[in-house]
Amino acid sequence: MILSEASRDVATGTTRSTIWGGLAGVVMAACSVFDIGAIDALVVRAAEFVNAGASTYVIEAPQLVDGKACQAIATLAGFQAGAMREEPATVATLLPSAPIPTYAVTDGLFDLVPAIEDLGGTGVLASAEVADSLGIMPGGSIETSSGPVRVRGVFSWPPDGRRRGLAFALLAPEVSAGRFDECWARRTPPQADMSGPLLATLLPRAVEDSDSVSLLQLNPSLGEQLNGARSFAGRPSRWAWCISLGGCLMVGLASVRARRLELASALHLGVSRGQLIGMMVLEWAWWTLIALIAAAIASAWAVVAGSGAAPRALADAAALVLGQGTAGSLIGVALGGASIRERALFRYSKSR
Amino acid sequence: MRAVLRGVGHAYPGGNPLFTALTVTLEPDRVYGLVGPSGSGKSTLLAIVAGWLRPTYGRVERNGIESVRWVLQNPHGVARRSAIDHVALPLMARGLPRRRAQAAAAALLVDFGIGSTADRQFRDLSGGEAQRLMLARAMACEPSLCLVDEPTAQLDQHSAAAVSQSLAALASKGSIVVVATHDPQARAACTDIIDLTDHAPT
Repeated sequence: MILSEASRDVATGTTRSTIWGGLAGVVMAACSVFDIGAIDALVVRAAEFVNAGASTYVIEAPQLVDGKACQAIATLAGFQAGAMREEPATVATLLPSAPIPTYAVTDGLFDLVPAIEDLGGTGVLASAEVADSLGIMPGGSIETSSGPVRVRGVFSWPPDGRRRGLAFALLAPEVSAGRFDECWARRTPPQADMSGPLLATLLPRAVEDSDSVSLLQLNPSLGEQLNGARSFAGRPSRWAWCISLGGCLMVGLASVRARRLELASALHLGVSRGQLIGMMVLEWAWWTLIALIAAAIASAWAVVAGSGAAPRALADAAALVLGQGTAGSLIGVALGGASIRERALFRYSKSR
Repeated sequence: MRAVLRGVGHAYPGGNPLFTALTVTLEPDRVYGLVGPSGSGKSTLLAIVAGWLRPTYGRVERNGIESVRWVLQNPHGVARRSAIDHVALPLMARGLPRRRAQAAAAALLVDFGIGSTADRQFRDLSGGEAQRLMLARAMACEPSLCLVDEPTAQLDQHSAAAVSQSLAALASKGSIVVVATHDPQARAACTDIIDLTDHAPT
């Protein structure tokens, strides 16, 4: 009887699925899209912070960095690291008046200096400026007095506040053994105090000669800390799930209260409260399904239209908002169902 | 099964008595017309008969009365559900499968002169048809006591006449029926009359 009555209510439009499903869908979709937008903005900001080198720290100690120890930092969970050493500049036959600063680097450094394009294999990475000046593409080579040097890729080094020196340079990979001038490292999520792991890369002699050692942030222009966790917890949309819960609760409650006269009447006619709530819940399931489909489509659109940097985090946020909305509307329907009084039939009848 | 009112009278706190010394025995298969001018206490007496209100004077004895169903002045239904669904609902609530409930409901609609409205939506019924549907629905519950409050008050003359005719169908269904009305036609359809003007305080 419960299923049969509920399905007739839906089929005849008595449930008003479009109104309640539409309202709940709008509440859920608005909360979800708002939260997705806010989180995506944080993700983008965090990515900018990391890409600009603000989370990368450098220890400088000419010829006193142990390349192996530096590269070993990269084996720690969440860490990326690489060592660098200045080499004699490369003189291109096309550009003899401007020797190109050249650095020997360990493989791990390429994780910290993102290439625009990297074909891999042997050869050097050229900065975009070098590539432009010489008119070379990845896969091409630079003619020098000592023969051609293959260019495996190109990296960019924009003037966004990061340490200068690599805007016009070549990076030549080298095995990690040996002495280096610098060790670069960063952690995900960012960590401001990187002195522990970086200091451990120094060779014993450096400890005695501490004047030649310095520790610096690769790009200090964006501040020292990102504080992703705090920004996330303090985002303007942090209460979106609450609004979704509360809003949908009101919709659920309204969906029942709007029918209080016919429901009180049903109780008066001998329909039990259990049967009544059973019907309400089945009808709720139908219009909430409509709301969920609408809100899921809107959320999916928001995720797709976003930066694409962290779709999983955005989907999780949307799932929370939709889940809370669903729970809220069910609570509203249950509260509404419990609030209907048979005796109030006379009052409802007059207030109509 | 019966309800007996002995010397019943009622006054609201701080007010004069509405009626006094009413003694009557209400029995099944009869339709009692409760008449009197506005303010004479018809609705109050219905509430006393229902057991919702304790009378100021006298007492009410109820024997075997298990269920009370009201039919209110304004017919209220579910706009988009069919007439027959309205009557079938209380039958299904009592455990009848839909097919049998629909058959019994159809018979009740015929009893109340609205057999042809079975498949029409409630919102498409006239006021008189809707009120007769309310009577049929109340009877589907097979209540011990059926209380009908001013069933023709909101209707035009033609519809009121049709509803009044249907009141006769309330008898012979095994319920005690009390109809509060000030409509002469409705009054004429009742088997017994309780006139509150006879019990007005002197």
